[in-house]
Amino acid sequence: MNSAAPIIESAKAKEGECCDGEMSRAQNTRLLRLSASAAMNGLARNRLATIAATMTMTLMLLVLASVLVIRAGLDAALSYADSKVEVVAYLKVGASDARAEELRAEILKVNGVRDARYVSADEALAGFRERLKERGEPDLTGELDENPLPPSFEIALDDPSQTARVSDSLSKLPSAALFGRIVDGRALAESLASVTSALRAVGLIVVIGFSLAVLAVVVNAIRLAVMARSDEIAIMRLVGATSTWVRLPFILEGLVIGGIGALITLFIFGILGAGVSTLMLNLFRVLPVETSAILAGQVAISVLAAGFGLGALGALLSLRGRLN
Amino acid sequence: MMSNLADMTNVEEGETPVVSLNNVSVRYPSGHVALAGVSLTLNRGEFAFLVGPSGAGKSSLVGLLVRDVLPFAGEVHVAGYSVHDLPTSDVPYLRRRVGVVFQDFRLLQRRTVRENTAFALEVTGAPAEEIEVAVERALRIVGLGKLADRYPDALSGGEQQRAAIARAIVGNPELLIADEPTGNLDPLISWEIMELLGQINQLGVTVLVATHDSDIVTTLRRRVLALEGGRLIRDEQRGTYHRVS
Repeated sequence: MNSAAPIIESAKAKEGECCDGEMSRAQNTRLLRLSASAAMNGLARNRLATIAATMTMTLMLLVLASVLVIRAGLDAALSYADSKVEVVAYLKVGASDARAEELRAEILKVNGVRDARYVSADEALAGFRERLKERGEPDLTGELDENPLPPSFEIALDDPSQTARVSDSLSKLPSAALFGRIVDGRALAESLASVTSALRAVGLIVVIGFSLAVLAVVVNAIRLAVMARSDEIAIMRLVGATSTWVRLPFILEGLVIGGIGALITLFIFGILGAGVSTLMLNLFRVLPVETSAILAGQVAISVLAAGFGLGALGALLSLRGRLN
Repeated sequence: MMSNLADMTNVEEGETPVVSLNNVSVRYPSGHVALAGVSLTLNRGEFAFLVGPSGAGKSSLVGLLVRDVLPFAGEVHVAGYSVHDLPTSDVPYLRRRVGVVFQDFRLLQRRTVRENTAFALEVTGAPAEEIEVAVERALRIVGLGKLADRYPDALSGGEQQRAAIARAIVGNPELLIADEPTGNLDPLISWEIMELLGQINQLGVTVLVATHDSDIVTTLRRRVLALEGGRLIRDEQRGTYHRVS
């Protein structure tokens, strides 16, 4: 039997070359290539399940992206409200600007005060006129003989929750007699904060709910692929394929479903992008324009991560306990 | 090349056996004891039949050798691996040293004979050039060179079993296990398959054939390991299917 020689020789050569479980780069390349073609075949074979999974994935990622954008808008509104005046100390009507600097120094000494901005009566009137104009209401202030608005200090605090204490301290200042009214601006910020946190919670629940639904659909799609290839898997295990080789095609299928879903989502958001920013600006007025690029980046990263993550997780879940 | 052949075929005394079972028991979660205190060794280049009635423990023994079944007690060594305490991650490397063929062939229907054979090496990450050479050699050994591009459903039972054998030997295993290889085949074809297994054995591969075919076992007069009720009741060189009283 002459063919005996090569079979044995090759067996010996192989022993030396590999088998401490370490994979060479060439081997990794072959693994990826074969797994990718197996994954593509698997996806094509279960076309309906693949499309269903990809569409569900896209829907979920659209919801996720919307939640992220809305949240960013709310955050911006909230931080704007936080950065806004927390306490306003109105001086008596007709108080002169002369003592403003002196009074400001006094206010700044109060514990917990970060900054105080003096708004003169003229500035207050100008601001009032501007707001009237914005709302399209008739400006009748020209008819007034003198400015009816008091000058004021807009006071920012180190800790927004300390408005009550700071208002109290202000009313005890030596010059407190000059103050007409001290307004605690906390109520507005608080109500905005509670609305924001409620919306955050709702957003989180919606995203988690959708993620679970997506996982179920992806698991189903991959499980179909696993069942369709069960004979192949059995042979792979029989001839000594490592679990990575057995699993990788299915994990790739999950990644493809997630990746396509993410790309479709980002494409849709790209098209709607301009409209969305306008809407956000109208809705919250305050969303700073320069954050929109950062926001777009964050949304893109989150959508891609969620797509790939859910795809891979779905694949791993559907493989669990099936390949041992 | 020739010196390698000589190294492998001249079995020296004291060499590590390809298969060694030491007082092995298999007990299933149901409590059923499939094997009880079985000890045996197969040396490199040996050919042995594994016989016994259904339920005697043949399948459990075959399962043990590829770590499909774990021993409840005792030690199992196959192709240099301590199978009884082999980490799961090493199981694939054991299986690359052991070829297995079954009664039902288990070929992939969507692949040709050549692709079925190559598949066994592809999934171990072997390079394409190496696979091509090994596949051609394996197909030549089993005599399927001309039918290599056919799909399994275009082959006879005997040809399908040859394809399965090609797949089992393409990775140069130390041990070839045939589990009822002729169970689905005509007597004449069965003899051809047995002859092929004998040829592969002559190439230096240790061969273990689990079978019910008493004619073949008794005629060939090879080593016979007989199981009954989970115990090894006979281990005879040049044995027969039934006990000769």
